[in-house]
Amino acid sequence: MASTERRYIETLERFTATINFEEPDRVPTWDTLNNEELWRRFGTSSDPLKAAVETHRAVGIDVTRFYWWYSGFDWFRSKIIDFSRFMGLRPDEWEMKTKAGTSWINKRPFADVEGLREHLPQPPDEDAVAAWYIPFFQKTIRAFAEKGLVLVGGLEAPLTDAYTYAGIDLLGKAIYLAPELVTQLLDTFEKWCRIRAQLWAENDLGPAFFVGEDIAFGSGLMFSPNFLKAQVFPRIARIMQPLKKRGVKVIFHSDGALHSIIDYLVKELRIDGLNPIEPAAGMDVAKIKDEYGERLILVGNIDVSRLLPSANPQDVEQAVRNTVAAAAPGGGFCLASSSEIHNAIPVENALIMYRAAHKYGAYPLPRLP
Amino acid sequence: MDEPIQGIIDCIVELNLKGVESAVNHAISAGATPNEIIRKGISQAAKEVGERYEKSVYFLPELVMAGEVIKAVMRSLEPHMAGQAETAPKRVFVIGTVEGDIHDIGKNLVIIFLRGHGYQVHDLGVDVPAERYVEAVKETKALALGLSALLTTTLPEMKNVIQGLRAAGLRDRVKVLVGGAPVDESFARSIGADAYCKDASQVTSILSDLLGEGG
Repeated sequence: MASTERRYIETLERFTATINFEEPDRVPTWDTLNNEELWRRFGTSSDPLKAAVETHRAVGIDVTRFYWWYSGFDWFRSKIIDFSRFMGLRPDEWEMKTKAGTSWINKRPFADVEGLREHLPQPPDEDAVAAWYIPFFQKTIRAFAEKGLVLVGGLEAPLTDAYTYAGIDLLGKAIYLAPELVTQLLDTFEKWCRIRAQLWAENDLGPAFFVGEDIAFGSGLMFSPNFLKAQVFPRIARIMQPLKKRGVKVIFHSDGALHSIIDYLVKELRIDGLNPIEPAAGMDVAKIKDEYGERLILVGNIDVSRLLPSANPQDVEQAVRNTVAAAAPGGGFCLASSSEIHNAIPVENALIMYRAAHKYGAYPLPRLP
Repeated sequence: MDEPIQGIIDCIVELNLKGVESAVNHAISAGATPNEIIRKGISQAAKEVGERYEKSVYFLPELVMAGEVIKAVMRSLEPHMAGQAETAPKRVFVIGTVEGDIHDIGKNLVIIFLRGHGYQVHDLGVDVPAERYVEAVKETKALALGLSALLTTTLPEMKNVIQGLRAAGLRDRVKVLVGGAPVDESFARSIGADAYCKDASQVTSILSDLLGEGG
């Protein structure tokens, strides 16, 4: 067996044991890299996918979630490409702006509810998505596997897609002024998500799937629990259905403070895992482990707002140590940053974080002094 | 609160866009002046909306919608404002998300509260370079400036803006408020801002204190 193949099997076993609440050789490291310096230093290939693989591999990451690599590393632009490829969005009507690797929509072809009504995205065609996405999924998974890394499937869920598309202010207005339009928009994006989740599950592409739905700020929920329970969570449940049926673990992602809704997410929506457990939003990983640790996979928790950008290496190492001690006993924990390794994080701090995870995350876990 | 104005407050707080025109007409017929409606009615309503937001009764869509109702009230008041003397100078607030940062949800919520309290807001948008803030403060004679950022990377930009104001001789003329996820009180102090705004709904009370307007 080639050493890279052996490495992949080891990583896959490590991750699979973890998400099944067993203690593998060590805590897996999981992350999203969006740091130009890291890419410059480690991603030498001119092919964005290969550069991504090289970079993740070099820094010591075991698992990463699915990206859109067909527009460099620009996930936002890639999303717009997807909307135009499968849902009839006309890119010439939209104005995008890119700066320092980040893109955003500068101008939409509509500015009010009536304009949105005239520019609703078209529901995607299942066969067209399958024809494009299956080879793309396979190619990407293979590229990571060849270097011993596990790729977790992923998508941004209907509400996030809806407010990306309409703009959050307009979506907020439409909830009151044209609720039928919001339903239509969410129906379309639900279908878009359901197709890809189903493709992942039915083609047996990997043991876990990431569902990103940013529903909270640092201070609490962005949308009312009633709205989420009526319009959003039932859609996520339907997206999760084919994955759950095949035993694929669903890792739910939302930034922010989820205290008021976490019980619902775990017990009613029945998510399998939670990311990124943002300490800056008061998400306490020890408490969450205590309460849900036997059924909820935890991914994240190393603070990207203050700690990683500005702490000294010793403090980063200590934070990793404390987090591992709180969250890793019994498995069910992947160490990751609390969103992504962004440009303000010094490369050295990122590297120390993963190194510390490898060192202090070795099972059996060491006792804290 | 005066009964005629109460109808307008109710429309804003209950997010009742359809009821605005008749509530405004009723208030005007009962003798309320547009200035009273703005000063007492809209401000009171914005305060109540803010309280509901702080208690997690209202969320982002409700704030956006309250902002829409306030805009509708202002539109309905316009025909009644012709020829009416200004009772107070316009209080101008310039706001934007600093250069390199594109997050605008927090900034937009702040704007809703400011407009609700009668501020004339100049929204510079996102990814705003320091010199643009300085120009805007100069052009609009703003009383206050709000700097928003979500990314740690862009925090130094806030300091650059304040330095730019100093270099232009404008710093003493304008109060600077900073806010956003990575910002805190000590950071605000360290860059020489006048105040840290933890939550959008706090902005008007902080401003009242800074501008010496009392409660």
